Amino acid sequence: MDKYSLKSILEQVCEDDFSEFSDPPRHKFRLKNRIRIRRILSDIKRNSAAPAMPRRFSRRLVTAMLVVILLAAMAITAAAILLLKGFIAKENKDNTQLFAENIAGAPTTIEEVYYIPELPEGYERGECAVIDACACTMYFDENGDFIILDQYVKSEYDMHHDNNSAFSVVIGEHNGVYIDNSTDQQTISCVIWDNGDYIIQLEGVLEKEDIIALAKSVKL
Amino acid sequence: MKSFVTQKVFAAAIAASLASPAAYAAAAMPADNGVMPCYEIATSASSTLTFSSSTATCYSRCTGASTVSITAVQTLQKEGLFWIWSDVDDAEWTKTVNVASIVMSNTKSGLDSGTYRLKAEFTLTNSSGETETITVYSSEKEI
Repeated sequence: MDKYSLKSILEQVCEDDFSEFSDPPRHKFRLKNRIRIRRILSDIKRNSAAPAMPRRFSRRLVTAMLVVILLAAMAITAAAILLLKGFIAKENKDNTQLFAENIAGAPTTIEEVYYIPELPEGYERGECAVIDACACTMYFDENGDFIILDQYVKSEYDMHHDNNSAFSVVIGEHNGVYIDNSTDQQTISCVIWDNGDYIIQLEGVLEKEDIIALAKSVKL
Repeated sequence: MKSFVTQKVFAAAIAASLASPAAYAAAAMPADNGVMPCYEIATSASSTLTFSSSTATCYSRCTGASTVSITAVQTLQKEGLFWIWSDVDDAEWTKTVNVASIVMSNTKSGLDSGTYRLKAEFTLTNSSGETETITVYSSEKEI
């Protein structure tokens, strides 16, 4: 008998002796134990799927994420809505809307209409329109060059301006905005200011210095 | 304590966020850098709607550069079901001028309660014969 035959015989004997234990009858746990086992297995499965984070860290992470999202949202809003002294500018697709920033305590109707006491040479008064919330007086010269004087109650000032360069200016004691609407063919300046009661807008075929000087002369 | 700290962090973040637009106080409107779209001819335009009981006053004005004529069409619109705007009957007005600026005001009486807005469509023609049409809506008003 060689060593291989002996090994085979021993394996056979071993299998015969222990075969009755290889397929033991299935043990039936009590319901209470089955529930406990299921809970334990469920916990093990959950813990293996996602490593547990300390609760404090999780809360901090969530807070930080919310702050980042909030700041990002506000940054986008800030990019779309600008503040020029006394005015709020809202960017649209092809224009910028200007609104009065502070409307508290201002008149809600036009009581008296502002005018330009001394017009530049050659200009004459044209059409004038007045409603309860706004007024517009036009001045033209013989070449068709214009000066337009608008007066709005603050709550109704909602003007769409071409997307041109704009700068904060001071008209007398009041904050205002200067917009350069010039083209290759024409020099057009626009100045808008809050005189405390109304929003006044003066736009015309004039240089910046001239329109600001004219704006300072506007009166009731 | 943790909750208090969290609240403080949020409050600080919100305050910082709200303060950020103020940083733009000295900024200018978008520069004319050739990238941002802009009006071709128009320089400024507005549309204003006011109410006195059931009567609407519709006011629109527009100015253009090197402009030889402007046609304005005002339409009063009412908000209907599912926020769809429809034109109010007999509330459309047209005006044409042969100068660089237009202003028009019209009234419409006997309006029902509801939300209204004024639509103003301006067609500007410049001295080179080019035309541009822009549409400006007023803010929405309720009666």
